[in-house]
Amino acid sequence: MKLKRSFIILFFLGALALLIAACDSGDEPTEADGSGESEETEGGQTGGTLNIALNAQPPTFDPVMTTSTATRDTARMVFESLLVLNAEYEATPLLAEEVENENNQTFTFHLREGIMFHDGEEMIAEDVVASMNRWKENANQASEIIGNNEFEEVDEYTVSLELDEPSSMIMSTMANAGQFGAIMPKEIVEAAGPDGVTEYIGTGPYEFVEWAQDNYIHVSKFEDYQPLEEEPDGLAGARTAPVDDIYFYIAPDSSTRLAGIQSGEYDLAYQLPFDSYQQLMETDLQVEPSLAGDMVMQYNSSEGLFSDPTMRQAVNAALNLDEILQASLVDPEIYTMGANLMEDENVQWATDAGEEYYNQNDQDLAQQLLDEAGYDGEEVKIVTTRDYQHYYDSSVVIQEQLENLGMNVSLEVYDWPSLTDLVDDESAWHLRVNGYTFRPNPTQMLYIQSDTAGVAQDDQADALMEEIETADTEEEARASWEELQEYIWSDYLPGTKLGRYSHLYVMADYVDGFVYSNGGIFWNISVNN
Amino acid sequence: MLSYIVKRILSAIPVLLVVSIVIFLIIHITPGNPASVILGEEATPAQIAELEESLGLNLPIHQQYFSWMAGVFQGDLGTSYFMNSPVTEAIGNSIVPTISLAIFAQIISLFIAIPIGVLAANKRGSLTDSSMMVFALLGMSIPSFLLALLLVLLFGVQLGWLPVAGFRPLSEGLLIHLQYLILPAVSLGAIQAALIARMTRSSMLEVLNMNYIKSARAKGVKNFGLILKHAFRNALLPILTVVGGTFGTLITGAVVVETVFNIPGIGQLVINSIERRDFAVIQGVVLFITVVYIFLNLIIDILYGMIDPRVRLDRK
Repeated sequence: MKLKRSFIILFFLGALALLIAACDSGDEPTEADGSGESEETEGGQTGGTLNIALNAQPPTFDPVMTTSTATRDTARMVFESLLVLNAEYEATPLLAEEVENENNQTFTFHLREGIMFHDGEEMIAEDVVASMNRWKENANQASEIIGNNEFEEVDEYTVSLELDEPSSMIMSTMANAGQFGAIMPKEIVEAAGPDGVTEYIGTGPYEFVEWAQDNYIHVSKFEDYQPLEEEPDGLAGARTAPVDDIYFYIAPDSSTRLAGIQSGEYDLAYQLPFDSYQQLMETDLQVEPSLAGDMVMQYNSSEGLFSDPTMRQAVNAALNLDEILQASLVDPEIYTMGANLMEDENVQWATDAGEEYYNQNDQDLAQQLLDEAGYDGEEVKIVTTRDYQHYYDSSVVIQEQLENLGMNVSLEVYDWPSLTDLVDDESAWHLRVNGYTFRPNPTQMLYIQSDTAGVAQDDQADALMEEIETADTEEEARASWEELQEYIWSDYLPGTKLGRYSHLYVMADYVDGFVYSNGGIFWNISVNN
Repeated sequence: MLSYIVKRILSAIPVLLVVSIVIFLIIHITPGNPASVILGEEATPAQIAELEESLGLNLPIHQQYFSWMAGVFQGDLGTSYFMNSPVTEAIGNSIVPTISLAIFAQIISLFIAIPIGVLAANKRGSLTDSSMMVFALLGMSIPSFLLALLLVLLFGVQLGWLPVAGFRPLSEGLLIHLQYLILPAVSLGAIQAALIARMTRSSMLEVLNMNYIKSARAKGVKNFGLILKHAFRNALLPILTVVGGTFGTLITGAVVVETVFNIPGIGQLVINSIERRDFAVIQGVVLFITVVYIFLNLIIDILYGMIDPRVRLDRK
């Protein structure tokens, strides 16, 4: 009996000790701790580990297969393309040394020599040809411009492309950050199936190590990487890889990311909730609201009530965008307003054309247009999702504003996959709020293209788009775009841009070098503590 | 005993068949397309159709069901559309954190519940009894997500003692493994502790009122020995039923806690797969969970016989 009692007491004490020990070991550096293991050098600290909390698991690590931003931001650590966008959205060589452009129709890409893949082989023209032709087949924007033409090998370090017709868009399309033309070894490209490549070998500053599904993606520094000498500029310029290891932890729940960055579990967290902005500003953390895209209320202009442009103009005239943005994006520090449909830094395309039609909040005009359109109390169906809270919040305010105008408005809420399925059925909805990330040129903007669900075909818009695509000079292309943007706001209105939203990136005070340009850029980040 | 086990396993087959049909129909009727989720919003209908074909999603629903079931009978639950890996592998990867969490949560709940239940029964009607039961009621009333968030705020964000998210496998060391599990296990174990404590108390009270206990007391057996040796063992049977049931819930129902603490377990796998419309994983996991429940119930029934020799399973 005595022995049994002693055993029980010992067992309890042991368990207690284990728990206390587990609590106490919090200060010990671990493999996945952003602290420790870094060393001071002339240009800052190198080494260490960076723990990033991602908001979603990428559907694939093959960037050629998807437009997913989670794939874009993680895969570009490993894969690189011939051209990339700089901070002003200009196509700039990365794996290409130089590009010869003859009349926007014939292009010759001279490759950088001595670029190594992560498997130790040198990148040569046959790899580029195989990779770019696979990209052309998978990326819609590319296949529309390039058609049946192909990238061809000229010699070991030269690749050419000849188009049937001139295109002023091909360079920026090739440099686009989403679904980019990742250069991989020819054998890997040839072994790719319909769901993408199975081996992740690129030329980037980090090499792929491991993907623990729904847990983390681990990339580590590629020692043989050869950075450009130019200063970093958006996605262009030098990529330096000061940190040895980067873990992208998949943390879909925003409150988990928030608690994780506050407690030091993560060094950098993606896309935190807008309403946490003020709370975060009161901490030692670095808060970077980075303008990421436009929140747009899309009309179903293909079918039903809003196939009449006057109805769309009536709603556009009625909306009070200040109210909508305050309710959905919360803080003026994290959103901007304006008629410009391209990114403000985009020197080639940014314009305020049509600004008199933005944020009119003119109820009399709206009522007059409604009467003109013969609106007679028909039900207007807004479809939305709570998976993106700002879409839902803005939809609620839009519903209220339109009801105040005397319209009969209903709100239907779905989960995100159901909603994306539903909008393909053009008889099922009238209005929806959606986010669109920035594009390098107007031809890539989804909500003005008639092959997007709910977008009506429009002869004048198509003609102006054609002018942009085939313009001989940048000035001519810009003039056509200014005309098109004016027309979009005044008449066509496939959607009303509500405002420009930021993504909230938050990082610990010892993280240095984060840049946002078409998504977060992590290859020049160092951990300074 | 053997014939009983065989009978129980055979009776599980129709249950599994019904579950497989119901879950298959529900998820295929739900709107949403895995090919659209994988390819992104800009994919053309042609690209989506091509991927659907390669995933076998364009086949008639009954054909998809029979092809899936044919695989299931050979131990193949299909391939995840999103992760492009076998469902069995996804379950295998996710079950480890879930089992670790479930075991730890169960240990915590037993450490809290058994002493409380036994003490409350022994001091029936006293202040100790009332306060223990109020404590248990409180544990049952607090939703696990609320407790989880409160623990995160206190021990993670404010005090910085414990990590608030993630999972570290045992291979990285026992201490770091437990460190990451403490908060989720306490959140998860609190409700189970309350339930088990109440069951322990009522079961102990029943046994303590029996004549053999009174005789033992009359013979002068000391209270501590009486409770542990004579009463507790006989009160264990209903407690075991609750423990078995709650362990099943811990393995299959930790969805909220796994989400709050970002633990890549079975609950998180189901939630993510529903969001991605990864039909193969959803139906595979549900079938797996059903098997786990049936298996756990069977184990509990067998343990009955071992703990209480009066229970003869074969004669049932």
